[in-house]
Amino acid sequence: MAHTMFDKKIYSDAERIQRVWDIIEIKNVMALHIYYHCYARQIEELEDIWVQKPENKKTASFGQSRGYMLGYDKIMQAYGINNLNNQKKALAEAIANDPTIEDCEDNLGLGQSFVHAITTPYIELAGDGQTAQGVWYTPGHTSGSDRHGYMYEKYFIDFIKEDGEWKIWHLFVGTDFSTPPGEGFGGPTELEREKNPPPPGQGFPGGPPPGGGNKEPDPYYFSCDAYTMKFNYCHQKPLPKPYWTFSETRSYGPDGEEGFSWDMVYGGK
Amino acid sequence: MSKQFTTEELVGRWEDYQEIVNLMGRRSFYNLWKLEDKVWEELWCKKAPDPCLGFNDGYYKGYEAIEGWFKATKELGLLKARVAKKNHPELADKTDEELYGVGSLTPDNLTTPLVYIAEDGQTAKGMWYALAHITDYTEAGPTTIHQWGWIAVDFVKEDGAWKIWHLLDTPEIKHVAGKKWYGGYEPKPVDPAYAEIGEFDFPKPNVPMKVNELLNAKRPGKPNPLAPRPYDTFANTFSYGI
Repeated sequence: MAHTMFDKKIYSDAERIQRVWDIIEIKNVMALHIYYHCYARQIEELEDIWVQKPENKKTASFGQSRGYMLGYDKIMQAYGINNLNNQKKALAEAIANDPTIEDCEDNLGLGQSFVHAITTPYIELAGDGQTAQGVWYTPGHTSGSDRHGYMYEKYFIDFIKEDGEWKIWHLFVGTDFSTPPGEGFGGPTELEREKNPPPPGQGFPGGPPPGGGNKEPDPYYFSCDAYTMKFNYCHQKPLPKPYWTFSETRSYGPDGEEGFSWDMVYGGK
Repeated sequence: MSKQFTTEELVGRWEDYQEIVNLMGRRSFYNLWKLEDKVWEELWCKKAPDPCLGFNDGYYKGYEAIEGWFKATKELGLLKARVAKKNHPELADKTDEELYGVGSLTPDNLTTPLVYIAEDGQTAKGMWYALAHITDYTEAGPTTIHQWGWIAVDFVKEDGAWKIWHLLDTPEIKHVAGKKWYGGYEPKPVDPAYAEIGEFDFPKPNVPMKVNELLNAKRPGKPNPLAPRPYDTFANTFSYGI
């Protein structure tokens, strides 16, 4: 039986069940992001579930309270390679303190876990079936030997289909609070913490936020107050609304922010 | 996934997906309502070879061992009811069965669903992150514990219905509410009025082994358990059992 949506398209039964599976596959992609992030396997994550087509890589983004990393290569360097190097450094330090620890790949991420469990899915699949926008709430924890605590956040994500597979295109995570067990939620917001990162060793495990702590101008980082809980619900991302094609909706990437254009990054190329 | 499915097959596979998600939801609510015997009777397979129930310290492998785990869980619950009655005279007119589950609130809050159904439709693999909050009588008296970690499951279709075949429950965080969790579980001091709960002789895994461990400075960073990925038939993927 045909079914009308968006006043633009009559979907066949085959298209309708494909749209059902698109939502399930998007949920699986998101769960894989959580799994890879849990074990700090960011490089595998980027290669497996992030965009791979050159035109989409150029406009991939990873956003947090203080702004956005721009482009897949920047994300790979800051979120992927830098995190791997931090793990190697941490493992070397652990071995220096305890020579019984084996220097092997299985021990990268030794004693760490960063879980942002996803709940409350809210997913809009574009009418054309080529992109989707999803929002999740995430109660989680970040745990390392130096510090551990709860971290509660919201994910806002744009997905795009590449050769039949759903990929993460723009990922934004807005932190509501992070706090050690048994303590309150007061103190500076995550935006304030990212603007004034604590000295090394005093922050949350996992090191500084991927884009945070930049001291030098970075053409592949767009700095803005993208998210804060300071005044309750200002700087919040909107929930997705039904849309036909991606140009009709507000991106969860930096192009969803005022004053940003990808031409600023690539000079129109 | 490489195989192309017809519209009818895709509808059937969506029904499979929903049944599996519901099965795990049913398991959570049965546990919450202290109906663990129904988890065993209704939700576990009864024909597939070598079912396994795994925890950080090993596996209960085989039907007898798993049934023994569920029976022991029931007996421990009845003991808790008797101990609660001793400590709360206002409960004296209730039977142990009536009091089964008294003082218990154990939602496991399954999040982060990751589910793949085999191309042949005979098995499926799923993994969830459980944000469990366990309030119950313990040897320390009434206690609230936060227990978080991955639950990974192999499902098998038996007589047209999805059943649990291998279930691996591997908490990485376990701590008394308000306390730190890193470095292992620190129990509350034993309360003599509730001490016999701690003396219950719960059966150990019949395949004891270090499957996983609570977060500590020496826990390997290697992903454990592994996430399921698309597969065609069970022989061509890994197992959450042994």
